[in-house]
Amino acid sequence: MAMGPAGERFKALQIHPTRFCNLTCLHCYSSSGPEQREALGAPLLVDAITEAGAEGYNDIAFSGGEPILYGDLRRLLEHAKALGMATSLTSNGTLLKGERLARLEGVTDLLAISLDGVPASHNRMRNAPRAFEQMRANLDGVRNTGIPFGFIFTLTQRNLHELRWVTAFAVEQGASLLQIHPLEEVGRGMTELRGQRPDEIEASFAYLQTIRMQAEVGDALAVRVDLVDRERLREAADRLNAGTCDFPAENRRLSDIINPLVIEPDGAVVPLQYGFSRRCQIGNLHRTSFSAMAAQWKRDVFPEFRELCARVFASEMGKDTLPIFNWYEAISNASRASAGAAALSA
Amino acid sequence: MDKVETSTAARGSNAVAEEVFGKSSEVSTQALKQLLSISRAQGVRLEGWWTHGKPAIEAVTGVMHVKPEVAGQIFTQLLSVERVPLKVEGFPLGIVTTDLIELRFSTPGQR
Repeated sequence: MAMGPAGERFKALQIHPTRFCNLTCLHCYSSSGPEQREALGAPLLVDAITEAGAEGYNDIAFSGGEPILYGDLRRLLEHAKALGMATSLTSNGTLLKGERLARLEGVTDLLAISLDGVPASHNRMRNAPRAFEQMRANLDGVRNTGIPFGFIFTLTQRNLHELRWVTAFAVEQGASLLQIHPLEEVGRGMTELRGQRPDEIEASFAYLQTIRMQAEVGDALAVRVDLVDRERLREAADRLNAGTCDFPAENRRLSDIINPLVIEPDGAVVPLQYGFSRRCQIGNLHRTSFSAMAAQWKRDVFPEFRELCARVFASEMGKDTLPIFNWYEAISNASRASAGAAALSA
Repeated sequence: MDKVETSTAARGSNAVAEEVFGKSSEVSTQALKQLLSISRAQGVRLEGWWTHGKPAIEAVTGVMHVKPEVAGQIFTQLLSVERVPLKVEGFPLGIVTTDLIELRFSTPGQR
């Protein structure tokens, strides 16, 4: 049985190699920017990718910071491809040209470019007056590489009506994917966009609008939304580590338990999404090898993680609110709240 | 550069509702619940949620678990019906059947 919230074929390892970025986007969950120099060494990540492969991870997704500013990106992409893994990266698109773009050729299966609405909205979110213009100017070059590409749209409380324009733009540009990701109030988003997180009404509308957009564009574009219908989850507790499955964690691959897994720029390896409580982290690459931390986590931490999953699952299933919600946000918030409560009682 | 305005600004969904249902329509929470229930009854499944924050590579490699465009056609038809929220008010949740949908959501002139 496939475990973990993610899919059955692709087991994702999301790597944030650096917080260095040319922009200071308002919604950035990692508070990345030009002043941030935190980064992981390539040898550390090469070893982590190799050992993650042994744990079943086969989809390496680079994010940041701006990953194309990471000097050893090509080396990591080549290494992942040599291991037979799928590779993708998320970029703000403003620097995707010349040598930086060429370094992605032949080793990148999907390039995701941020697009947060009509040009004026996009520029506001990117905190840069020419961000859209710069990104758009690079799209011809991206197409010429032949790398499949898509756009990622950050949904806020007030921009759903721009999704139609974004969808049309994505089709016009020849994108393969449009992914809608709800804003979470973490990182810079917590201070710069307070009150802009889409509430349950906006999330529900976004879910419906996603269906509508997919219907309108047909096969021209895959439209995805990072939200889930609670009623669809009721029978999937095991998939979320919230069920009664008692198959020993020690006998399972980490990718069958945690998917996606995230490596943060400080070396922390955490479940599910950036910013997950360190109390449930797998370990830190600066202190332990990936293989060793995975074995220890399954033995020592998994019971607590599973209890957290079960508690959040029961809480969500007991709600009588609109059923569309962000599971990852719910469990990440709960992980931090739980860690805070534990610290207070200690 | 000005910061994005805060929650005092209009919801994005207000503009969508205005486009779909007309200026005088408001979409209630109950109506949204019912539309979502109908989408479930029609077999609409969106599994993109599990990609969460990373590009959905399966979406461009031909291993999609669902084809929402198929069910989406039905849903678009529902959404296109004038003043849908008024028609779905009062629908009992969780027991929407195809027969009921056909009865309640036929477009003008089709009943």
